[in-house]
Amino acid sequence: MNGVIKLNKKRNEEKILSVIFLAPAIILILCMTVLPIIYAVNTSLHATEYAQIKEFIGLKYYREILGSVKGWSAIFNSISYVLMSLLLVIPIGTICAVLLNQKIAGRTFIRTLVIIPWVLSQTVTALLWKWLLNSNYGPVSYIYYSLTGQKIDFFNTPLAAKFTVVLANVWNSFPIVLILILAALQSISADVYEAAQVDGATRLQTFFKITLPLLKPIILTTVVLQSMEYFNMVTLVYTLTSGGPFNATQTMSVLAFKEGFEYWHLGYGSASSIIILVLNMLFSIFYMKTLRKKD
Amino acid sequence: MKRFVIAMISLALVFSMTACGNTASTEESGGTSANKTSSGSDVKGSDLTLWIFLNPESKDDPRNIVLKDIVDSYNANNTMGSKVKVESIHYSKFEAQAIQAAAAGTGPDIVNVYTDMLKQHIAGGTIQPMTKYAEEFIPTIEGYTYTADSLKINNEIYTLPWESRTFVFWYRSDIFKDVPKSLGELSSLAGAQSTALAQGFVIGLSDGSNSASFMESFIPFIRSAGGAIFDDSGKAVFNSDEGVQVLNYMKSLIDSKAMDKTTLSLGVDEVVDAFKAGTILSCNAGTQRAATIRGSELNDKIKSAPMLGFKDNEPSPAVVAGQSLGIGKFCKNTDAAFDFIKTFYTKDNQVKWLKANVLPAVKSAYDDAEIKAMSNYEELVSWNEYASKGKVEFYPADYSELSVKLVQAAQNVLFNGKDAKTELDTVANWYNDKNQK
Repeated sequence: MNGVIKLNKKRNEEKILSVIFLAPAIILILCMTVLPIIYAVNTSLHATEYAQIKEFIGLKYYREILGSVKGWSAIFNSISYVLMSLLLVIPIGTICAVLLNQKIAGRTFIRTLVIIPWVLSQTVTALLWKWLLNSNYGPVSYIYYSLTGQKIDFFNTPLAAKFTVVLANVWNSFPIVLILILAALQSISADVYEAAQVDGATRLQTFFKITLPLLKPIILTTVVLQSMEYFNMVTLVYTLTSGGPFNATQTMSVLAFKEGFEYWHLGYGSASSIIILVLNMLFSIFYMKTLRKKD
Repeated sequence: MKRFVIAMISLALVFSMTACGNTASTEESGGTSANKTSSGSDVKGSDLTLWIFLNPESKDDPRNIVLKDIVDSYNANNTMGSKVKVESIHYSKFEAQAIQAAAAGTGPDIVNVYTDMLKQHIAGGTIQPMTKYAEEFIPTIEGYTYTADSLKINNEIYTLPWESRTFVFWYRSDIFKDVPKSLGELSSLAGAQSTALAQGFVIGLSDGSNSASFMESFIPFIRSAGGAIFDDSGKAVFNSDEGVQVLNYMKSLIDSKAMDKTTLSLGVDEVVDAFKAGTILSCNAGTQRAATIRGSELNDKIKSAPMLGFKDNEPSPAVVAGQSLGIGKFCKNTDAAFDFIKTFYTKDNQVKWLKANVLPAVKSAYDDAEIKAMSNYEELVSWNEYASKGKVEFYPADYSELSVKLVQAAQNVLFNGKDAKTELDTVANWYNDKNQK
């Protein structure tokens, strides 16, 4: 009997201890994540005047967003921005990681060099690309003019502007993809490659049959992480194009920022943010399910 | 025992985290109360913060150097024992940050406000009236451009302008031998001078930075045509024949090849940069940009003139705006804040601003011997004469949103073949419906 009581007491102590240990993390998550989401949801359901929350208006802002061309265009721009960026950043990051995993001269120096764009802030990146590609005084346009006698246009048609923001984003964010995949590559045992070599596998076969399948989990994680980052990205796009021309680069997050903090429609901006959250969740679930099915 | 110690440490961690939020406010309130008298009024100096778009730590712009000089001098010499700390915020983010801070019940003691944005600051609760201080102070400023009444909004004075800028026509004297007589002549002359690399005359049509470049031309042009943006009741009336005339004129600039599609991505900063680089041959820009423009390698070929109008030899009416200083809504010590504000209007400091090509708010600054000896003295005087024909105006709180809608209407007219009247009607109806006008 005493033994059972002691065992129960020990279990209770362990439970209390685990709660105490978890408490700081839970409080942090509550304060930094859950409360702001609840606040945003609440704001999105109320009329607002500057930063003041007024009367309850239900789903009015959601209906406005989802019932307007502006709203759907922003959702489409967000999805196309994320997909185009991922389509470029994952292959480039993977190829660069595989190359930098080889024993080549100056590897450390090249790795350091490659990481630089990621260290730069989105504002600096945007200003840099804005200057480089400016049709009127940018060096790229000037070189193009010297060669062809014509100016080149990177920002002034919807399609060109979309590609330009994607390009700048890929340049800024591919190093993190590279780092994650490089770390995963270094954890793959050399024995696997030796065995493949003994079996007579070519380099391409080794890459597609061994390296890539073993990288799948980290690629999945990277895709989810980068999707979230791209869906939430404001600074880069806003500084580069302000969402123009003709709203062609106005993603949901840029719309949320402009409505919330430029025009002070905080309720509308909050509703836009919640839609971004839902998009993020849907995409993450979709990636997970798709890749698990293939496994 | 070991477990008990670990549990206690964890508890201590949790409590210290939850207490974090309280520490700051306790310290803050402690700091404030130290300056309070028993009656609750502040009489001594304080540590004050000033939010402004200039950066005293940078030497890129002569205005930064003047600001640093004024603040350092005040901190060293003021009799109240105040210390002013400058926090620099880029002008495109200024309103957003100030309003967010105010919503959180905080903010600077002294706020620099661009007069176009003043009503947004009032609506956003970032500043407090300082009518009593201002009405006593204004008569003591020798040659101040503004009267107390001209600065009142709802019978209160919120800020005092310390500069008086206007918007002028900048052109390359090696390209345009004489100043074009009118906007019509400018369109044809600029079109003839455009090349594959250089545009003759440009109005930035980007919707970034509050569409400043577009609005800085649209407002004087519509006035030159005899129209207005708002009527006396605040109703939007830019969808008039005159508004249509302005948008059609801008379209004619595309047709004459004076400007091309790259203007879609040009904000006011980019227009000035391209003008400096020589790939834009003329543009409209504020006099406050003189120092930047004069930093160009082409400086000896750059001249300015009053902004052109639709009629021959009749410039567009001057649009006047200015940077101004006000007291923050949550200012700890309003006496000390206004004591600092006053230093901006001394003749010595106004002369310093003028040396940095900032049109002063005090006319007597032009009488200074050093100013008269400046190489561009004649130009400064001509700007002042042009500016004196206009007056500072306060635009509505939703001016930013309206500006973006207007520039988007212009983009559609110029590049998507939309009808000017229809586009302007859409924006005007949206604005008037929203504001129940």
